Amino acid sequence: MSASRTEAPAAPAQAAPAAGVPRRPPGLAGTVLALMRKELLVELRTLESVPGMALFAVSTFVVFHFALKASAIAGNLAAGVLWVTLLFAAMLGVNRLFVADAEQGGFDGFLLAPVDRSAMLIAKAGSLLLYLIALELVAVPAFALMLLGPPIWPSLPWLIVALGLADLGLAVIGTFVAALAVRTRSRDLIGPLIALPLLVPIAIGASSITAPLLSAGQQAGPPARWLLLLGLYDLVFGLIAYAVFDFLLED
Amino acid sequence: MPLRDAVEYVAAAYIVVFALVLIYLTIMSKRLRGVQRDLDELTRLADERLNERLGGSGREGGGGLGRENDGGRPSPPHTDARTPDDHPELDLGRPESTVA
Amino acid sequence: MSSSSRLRHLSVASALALTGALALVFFYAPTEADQGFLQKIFYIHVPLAIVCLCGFVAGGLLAIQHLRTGDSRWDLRSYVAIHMSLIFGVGVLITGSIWAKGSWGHWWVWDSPTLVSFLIIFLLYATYQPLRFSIEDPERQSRYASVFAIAAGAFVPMNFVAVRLSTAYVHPRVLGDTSNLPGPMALTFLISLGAFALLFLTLCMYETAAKRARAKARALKRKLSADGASAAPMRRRSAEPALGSATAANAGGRG
Repeated sequence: MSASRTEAPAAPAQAAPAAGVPRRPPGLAGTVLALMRKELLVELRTLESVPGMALFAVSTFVVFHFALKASAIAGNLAAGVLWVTLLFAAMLGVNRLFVADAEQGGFDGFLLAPVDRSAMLIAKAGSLLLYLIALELVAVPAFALMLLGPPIWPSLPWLIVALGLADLGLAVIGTFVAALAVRTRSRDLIGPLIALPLLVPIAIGASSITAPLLSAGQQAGPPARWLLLLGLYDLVFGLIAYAVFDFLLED
Repeated sequence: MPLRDAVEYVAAAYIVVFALVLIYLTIMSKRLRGVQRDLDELTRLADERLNERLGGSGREGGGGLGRENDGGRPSPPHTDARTPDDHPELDLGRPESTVA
Repeated sequence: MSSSSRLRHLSVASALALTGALALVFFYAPTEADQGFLQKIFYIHVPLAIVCLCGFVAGGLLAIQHLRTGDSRWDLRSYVAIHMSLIFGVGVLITGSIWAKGSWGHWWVWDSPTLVSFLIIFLLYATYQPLRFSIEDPERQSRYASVFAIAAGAFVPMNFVAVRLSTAYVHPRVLGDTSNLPGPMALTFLISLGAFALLFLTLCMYETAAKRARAKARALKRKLSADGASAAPMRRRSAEPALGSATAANAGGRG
């Protein structure tokens, strides 16, 4: 049985329906949860994305060590190295996001189901968000161990906030670009090409917040301006992606 | 900065913009010449077809022609294939004359 | 007014406006005290940039129309607007670079938020044609291109805000500060802006007309040779939008 066949119509079957009683199609939340369950199940079984992303991040840190000839970096440089690595590792996950659906007919199955189509956007973005969090659980400690000079513990709370806001934006933009690129001929190339300019504001905001956090002795919270930038950008792009996503799914 | 150098930079900038526009117009005129060539060839093809059908229906009467399936209408089967004579706005003339 | 006479009038108007703007720039506008004669680049660099950005946003708006109505003519207009803005964008980057070299001695400066934002937007829109080219199904190609144009069009203002925020505290001086322009300079700037806007519209109309004509010629050729011995294979080698039977109707230009 192909693990990628959508199970959206089967989701309400958890409560066994009485014979002959018509089932109501699941609402948005139900559909999203069902789709995400499927995504995470597939990822757990195949381990396609997250281990690759994490491994890529750690290898990139090694390369940076040799490229920069530095063992302990701080401030702007540290923030830059961390965010560039996270962005490129995220691109790996983005490339694989819709591939299984495109190749094995998951789109058709989903389109036939009587469910809100935006559920696929929310579910895929949510799954990508979880992959990114998993990636960061490996990459950030690795970074702190391998390359970072100052201790990371004092700045951890604000760092988590920065990571969270940036991850939201990465997830939304990543899903949007993945859906756009998956049915083109050169999907692995087009995806990152389109995504990187779109991710520049996120890189700007995230590294501006992170740079003082990764310097020695700077414990104050980040200026509100960057949090606002990230939050607004995430929101606006989320709305745009929500508005146009249907057009990407049509056959 | 000294005036002499400034003039060079300003001139370079304006020349670049001018060159871009010129390059664009050159490419456009090449394309239009290509379209003109296509239209000439199509007119020739259409004339051939017209002669064939007029000549053919004269020879074979109502027997129907092998390749025809439209009853011998002199125009191509699809209604949206109009010639430049029907749509003068498509007649872009010689490329030189459309550049003001 | 048929489209070809509209085109002719627009061309004449653009030529006149451009000549007038040039004359104003070099014979009427006073030389700026701070930057000297070099500042004259401002009168083409900034109008080019404004027209280019408006063109990108217009491409997004036209794409919205395309998705709403399904009429491929909107897709053609969106494509042409974005394509033309990309060309104007090359002009912006080159003139900006020349200005930077003259002002600060380097061909590229990260301190200028407008130039940096521009580069990012240019890199984004440079993927538009590769994206189109890599989707073979014409209907899907135009749909996906419209989705891209909408997202990218919304990205333009957001990107400017973001980059401006990041450079605000690095270097206060901005290349070509347009606030507080004295009268004669403001007039010259506005005329120049109008001239480049007219040029943009004219070139867009040319491109649209040329594409329509070429598409019709190809369709005719296919139909005529399909009647005969061998049907010409449908080769779609370029990133141009496919024009369906909608173009057989009104062949009038924009809007």
